[in-house]
Order: sequence, then C-alpha cells, then structure tokens
Amino acid sequence: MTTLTIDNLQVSYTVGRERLDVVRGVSLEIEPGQLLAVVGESGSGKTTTAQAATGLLAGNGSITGGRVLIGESDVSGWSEKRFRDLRGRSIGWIPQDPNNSLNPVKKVGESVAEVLRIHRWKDRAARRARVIELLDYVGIPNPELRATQYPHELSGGMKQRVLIAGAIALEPALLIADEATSALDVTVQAKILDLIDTLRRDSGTAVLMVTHDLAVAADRSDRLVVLRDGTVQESGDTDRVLAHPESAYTRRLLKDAPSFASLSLGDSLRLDSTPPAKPEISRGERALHVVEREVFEGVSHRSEDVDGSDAPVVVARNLVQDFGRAGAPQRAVDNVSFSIAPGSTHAIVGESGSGKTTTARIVLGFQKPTSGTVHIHGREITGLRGAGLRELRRRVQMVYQNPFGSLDPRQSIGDIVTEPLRNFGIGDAAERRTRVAQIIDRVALPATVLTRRPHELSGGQRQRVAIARALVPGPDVVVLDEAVSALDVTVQARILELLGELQRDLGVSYLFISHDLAVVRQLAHTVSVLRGGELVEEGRTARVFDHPEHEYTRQLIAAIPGRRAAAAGALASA
Amino acid sequence: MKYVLGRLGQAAAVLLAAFTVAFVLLQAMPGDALMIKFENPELGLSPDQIAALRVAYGADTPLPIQYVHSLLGFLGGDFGYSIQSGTPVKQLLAEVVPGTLLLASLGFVAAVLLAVGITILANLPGLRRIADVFRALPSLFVAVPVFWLGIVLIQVFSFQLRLIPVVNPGPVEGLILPVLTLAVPISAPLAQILIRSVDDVLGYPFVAVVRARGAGPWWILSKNVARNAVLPAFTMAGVLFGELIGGAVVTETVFGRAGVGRLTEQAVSQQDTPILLAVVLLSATVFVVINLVVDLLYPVLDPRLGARKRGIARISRERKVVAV
Ligand SMILES: Nc1ncnc2c1ncn2[C@@H]1O[C@H](COP(=O)(O)OP(=O)(O)O)[C@@H](O)[C@H]1O
Ligand SMILES: [Mg+2]
Repeated sequence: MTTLTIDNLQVSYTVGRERLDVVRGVSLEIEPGQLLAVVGESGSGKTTTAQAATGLLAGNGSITGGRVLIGESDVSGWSEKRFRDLRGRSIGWIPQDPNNSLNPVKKVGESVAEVLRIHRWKDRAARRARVIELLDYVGIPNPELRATQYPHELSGGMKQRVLIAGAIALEPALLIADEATSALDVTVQAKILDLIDTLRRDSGTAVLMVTHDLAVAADRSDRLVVLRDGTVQESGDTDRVLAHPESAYTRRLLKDAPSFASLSLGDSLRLDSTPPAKPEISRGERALHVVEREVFEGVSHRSEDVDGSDAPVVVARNLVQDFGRAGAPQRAVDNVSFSIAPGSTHAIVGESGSGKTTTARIVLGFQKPTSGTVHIHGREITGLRGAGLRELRRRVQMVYQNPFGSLDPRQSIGDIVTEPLRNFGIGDAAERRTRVAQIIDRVALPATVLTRRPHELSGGQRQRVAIARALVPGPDVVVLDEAVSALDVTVQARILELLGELQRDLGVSYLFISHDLAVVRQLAHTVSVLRGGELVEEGRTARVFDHPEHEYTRQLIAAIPGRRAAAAGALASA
Repeated sequence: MKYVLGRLGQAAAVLLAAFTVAFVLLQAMPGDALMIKFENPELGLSPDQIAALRVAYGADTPLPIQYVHSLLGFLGGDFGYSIQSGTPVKQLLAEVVPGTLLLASLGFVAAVLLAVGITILANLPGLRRIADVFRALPSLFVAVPVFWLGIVLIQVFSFQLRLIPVVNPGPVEGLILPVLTLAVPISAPLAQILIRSVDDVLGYPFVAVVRARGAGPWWILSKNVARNAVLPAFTMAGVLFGELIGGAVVTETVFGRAGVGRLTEQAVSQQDTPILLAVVLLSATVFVVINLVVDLLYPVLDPRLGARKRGIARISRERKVVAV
C-alpha cells in the first residue's frame, strides 16, 4: 500500500487581496521504506507541498485542487481536529533547525515524552521507558542522563537526534524531513542521514525528504522530484535522473551543484586548468611557490629572495586566541599559521566552532590575538590603531554571509557602494561616481540598481552589491565569511564564477571562510583545515583533497555528499 | 553561592545609597518641620525659645553628624520621632503598614489574575473577533488615571448601584473597590507584555514541532508557551512594584483609608523628615528585596540562564579586546 500519494496538488496563499498559486499540480507517491526527495531552489514550493500533506499550512494557505492520500484515506478536506490525531501518530515530522526546535525550558526527555502524552499514553513509567529506549535507538549515549538535560546542554546533532526520537516515537508510517540536516556540520549531517537510513531499513518507514541540497538528495533517495516554481520539472528513480536528466533545469542544477562539479572535474585545480595565457594566473602560480617554500618547507622568506610583488600578501603566524576568564580560558584559535599569495585564494574550512571566523576577525584587525602575528604586505597589523588601522580597513575588506543583514535597508545601492570611498576619502564626487559605476558593471549588475534599495534585489544580487562594496576601495585582500553559503546552487555557481573572474582581473587575494568543502575545492588554491581551533592540515587544495594526510580531513571529505551523483555522472559520460 | 552573596552585597549597597540620597534631598528642602510647627504666630514663641527647641531636637548639630547618627539609628531599628506629633516613627509605621501591605498584595494578585485572564482571552483559539477586543484592552487600561478610576468606581458601585456603602463598609467590602482601583492600571503593562511575548513564543520553531506532533491550541498554550512567555513579564515585577506604591498612595487618599500612603502625604505637607526618611527607606527595602527574589528565582524558571550568563561574559570580553 502506498504510504503517501499526492495527486495534482494545488496550493495557494492569500496575501492581502492577492492569491499566490505556489504549488501548481504536484504529484508524487511514496511506498513503504522508500525515501523520496523533493529538491528545488528556495521558494519553489517544497515546504508548502510537505505542509499541505500534514494539514500544517499557514493560516493564509489552502489546498485549491488535487488530492492527498495518507495510506488509503483522502485527507485533503480534513478538519484541523481530524488531522491532529494523524500528526505524530501516522506522520512524524523532523524540523529544519534543531537549535530552536526544542522547548528551551523543558527537559529533552519530556519533549520526547510529549508526543506520547498528546496521544494519550497515560502510564508514566511506560512513557519514561519508551523515551529512554528511543534516545538509545537514535544513538544518544547515556540516555538516562541526557533525558534530564535541557536543550542548551546538547550539541546541534544531539538535538536533531532527540527531535528524530520524538518524530518516530509512535512508529509513524511516514516521516517528513524538511531540510532536516541543512543546518548541521557535514560530518554530523552524514550521521543523521545514516540514522534515517537505518530507520527505514528497521521499520519500513517511508520518508519524504525536502531539501535544497541536490547532493544530499542524490546520495540518499530512491526517487527524486525536482520542483521549480511549484511545478514538477522532473521525477523518477534517482539513478535514472542523475544519469539521464530529462529536463534542462535538472541538468543545470546538476551542473551548478559544487559537489558534483568538483568531483567530476576530478582532481584538477581551477588554477592548473586555466590556460597559462593569462599572465595574472602565472604570477599567482609563481607566488604560490614562494608561499609553499615558506610555509610548507619551513624556508623563511626574505624579501630580496624574490620579486617583491610575489611576496605573500598575508602571513599569519602562530595565532592564538583565548576567550573567557583568565583562570579558565577557552582557546578558540590554537597556534594557526597560514599565508596567502597575491592573487590567490586561501580557504579556511572546518565545522562550526572550529575557529574559522575568529581567525578571520584577527586578520581583519577586529580582534587582537592573545599571541601571534599577522603581516599584511610585510606590515604587522595586530594591535594597530588610528591611521594605521584605517589603512588596514581599506586594504582588507569583508563580505558577510547574510547579504541582507549587512546592507543598510534605508540606503540606496549607489550610496552603499559609495560609502567606503567617502569613508576613506578616496576621490572627489565625480570620480567616486565613475568608480562606483565601473564596479557595479564589473559585478554584472545593471546600472539601474544604483537607485534601488536592498530589499528590492534578489539574494544573489545583494551578494553582488556586497562584493562591489568590498572591492570599490581597491583592497589587497577580501575576507569572504561563508559568503555564498546562504545562496541557492545556481546563484552560488554564478557568484563563484564572478569571484574567480574578479580575482583574475584585479589580482585581489581572497581569504575564503567556509564549512562547505565542495565549494572550497572549487575555488581555493590553498586550504587550511581547522578543528577545535587547531590547524589539522594545510596545503594546496588538490593535494589536501586527493591525498589527505590527517584522519580528520579524510572524515570530512568522506562526509561530503554527492558521491553517488558523481559516480552516475561519470557513468553517463563514459 | 558566590553569585547569591554578590547580589546580597549589591542590595545592601543600593539601600545605603537610597538612604544617603534621601537624607541629602530632605535636608536640602527649603524650610523645615520645626519652623512649620513652632513659628506659627499663634504659639507666640520668641526667637530665643525657638532656638532652644532647635537644640533640643538636635537640629543645630552639623549635618555629617546628624547623618551618621540617624544611619546608626536605622541600622539599630530606631527611626527617630515624628517632629509634628512626637510619636516614634516606628510606632506610626507599625499602625499603617499592615493595611497598606494587605491592599498592595491584594492589588498585585488581582492585577496578575486580570492580566493573565486578558492574555488568555486575547489568544482564544477560533475567536479572533473577541480576541481583538481583549488585545485592545490593556492600552485602554494604561491610560486610566488611578484617582479617576477610584472616583468612577465609587460613583457606580456605591452611589448608583448602592452595592458597597461608602461610610463604614465592612472590612472585606471596604477592600473591593480600592483593590480594583489599584489592580487595573497595574494589570495593563503586565497584560501588554504577556500578550506580546505569547505572540513571540507562538512564532518559535519549537511550537511548530509540537503542533506537528498532534497538539491542539490549548495544549500548546498551556504546556509549552506559558512558561516561556512568563519569563519577560517576571523581570518586570520590580518596576511594577514602583507603580504599586504610587498607586497605593493615590488609592488610600481617594478612599480615605489609613495607610502608608496617607501617612506619607501628611508627612510631605508638614515636611516631617524623619517619617519621610523612614518611608523612603521602607520602599527601597521592599523594592530591593523584590528584585533580589526575582533575580534569584529567574535561573530556577529559565534553565538556560547559567549558560547564557557565561555567554554574556564571553561576549563582553570580546568587545573589550576589540576596544583595546
Ligand atoms: N504563509 C505564506 N504566505 C504567503 N506566501 C507564502 C507563505 N509561505 C510561503 N509562501 C511563498 O510560497 C512560495 C513557496 O514557498 P515554500 O514552500 O516555503 O518554498 P521552499 O520550501 O521550496 O523554499 C514562496 O514564494 C514563498 O514566498
Ligand atoms: Mg522550505
């Protein structure tokens, strides 16, 4: 018996007087034990489809056509009250962000027990036994103790396990996971996905997985449904879709997904694969050798050794950063060194809490390290003040993860991009105008955006504005802190291309902070892998990814989703 | 434990500061109680006699000595004597404090009940229309002046409906209107905070999770939202107490009840400094104690607090480092 059938579903939201049709004829079927992944960019209607199946649509949403069958009963017209009995009992739901999905003032054991209480498990002892059994099953060590702890005492992955325990407590036939692993570190993500696989095998639970991450979907699903603007672009067996995508849209998604791109590119680094005709690149290449001699072979760099322009732009040595009380300091960064050649990209990768952002803040001069030095163009910058600090601020610019939060919503794009020029007193009004116009053109935005405001732009456009603002004062180094992490793959791919182009043309260096190894592999020339503040491994990107020396690096690389797709892609092209 | 001791020390420091400020301000007032009392022409006292009286009351000793003297007195539980009547201030307070305490606590309890009631009605599932009426209520209540409300209540319940006698009401009947008068304006900010924080909490992702497990609106409200929503209101308790004192003074005057409010009002018009000093210190003590209790109880209600405190320490340290 099919667990979930969605047949030509139509959903619309009413906003003011307007009716938005966001799901327009979606059909899918999930059999027991199957995992069906719904993929698509943000706003394509994935979440809405999943919500419609459980009667959890927002107040202004309604099903305007089609049918939803749970098992054999058509639930599309059901009242909220009737749905309540189904939720938790027949349909389990795993939420997106484990960090805010548990009641902060409830012990996690009680949160798991809640679903039992809602569905009238009256016996307290039975509830407690079931909770411990569940926590144990989802892989929480020492469940008796953990059950009595509060959410803030658990890690993100642990919280997601607790939420899964709650979702499967009554052995529902269907599990819905809406971006359930998107907020987790890769290694944790891999473990949670393994847990969901185990669950399917053990209890024959059907899983509807909603995700924007094509690589995850490709690795784990039996069937794929690709959504765009509320319509199905493609649907079928995962292997078939990956090997022989029928729709042009799926092909583009597959091409833009960084994990597929870099894995199918195989081993070659961007840098190496670029034709040597471009002089900037060969300069970058030469500079890399200098950096390598210094950093990897321990040869101390002296300026007379090489042409001055090839000396590293950034040299960070033995950075240490402690936080907290003097008696019991927490070491956020522990003896980290790296350097960046001119016109090249150095990536710092690591999971959350590994010290990536703190390291970046030190390089930006926002933070004085407990010990260690940072030289930019040979000049020590830790502890700079006054004019020196201002000059540093001009030479080292920053692009943040969230383009919306970092752009002042009340200013026009023109003002936002001009601001650094005004701040640093560069040029007169006319000169500033031409520089801003040039850079806007350079990041491939139409001149008309200058009069717009941030909220009128798309996420990708806003990130282009942020890049333009960073580049306009002519920096030597741009620090990109998770700068493409919040973007959809196709937008992300375009931004990554843009960054590469700008680097080639302007010779700017990037310090690229990311948790996403696939992206790093695509963009970076050199990479440092951090764990718990310590430098685990460093080197040329190709070497680190293809011949990782450290066990942790190997684990990280193994956890990158997208192997199956890459294999299928290789198959298809062979 | 260290935290508790620290907070106790802080409380003591606040009290000392309150005493000092009150002492200085009261001394700085133009005129003094002795003059008001004895320079009345009907008494016909000569300047010499007045000077002798001033010495007897200790008014000629230098201020720092007076300050130390009365501070030591307060520490020993001796609040001095009323200048107007000569009665020990302690005795005057003992007469009026129980009545005021009763009024204030009943008023507070009524305000909390009222606020919680309004919040529940404002979130009644399925009754959006009615809920909107109750959502508008607190902003109306905030605007109502205490004395005006008292007068209206007396008009309606005593004179028009004749439910509660104005003259010589029974002990219980006599409390109903003052308590209501006091409770309504205090319930308003409380209800506003509660309604807002219930709305906030309802938007948290964990509420969606509970809903996806089959919980109905009542379950969500009572078993998940309530405790989270109470936290911000709880921190308001100290501020509300200030309003409670102000309200009590007005209420006692309007209803002609004996109490700290009336005592204060008389003392102000006669510039009876010892009484005023004692009243200020009494209010400060209750204020400090309430805030202390709130602070000490908060971590019990919110298990995250310990962790968050550490987080805050860490952040402020980061800031400092940046500033250097
Ligand atoms: N409550 C709502 N009211 C109005 N529009 C909404 C609402 N929820 C979602 N939408 C819109 O519906 C579309 C689909 O959203 P969603 O299902 O969340 O997409 P996805 O999960 O694929 O990112 C988007 O354009 C979104 O802005
Ligand atoms: Mg979504």
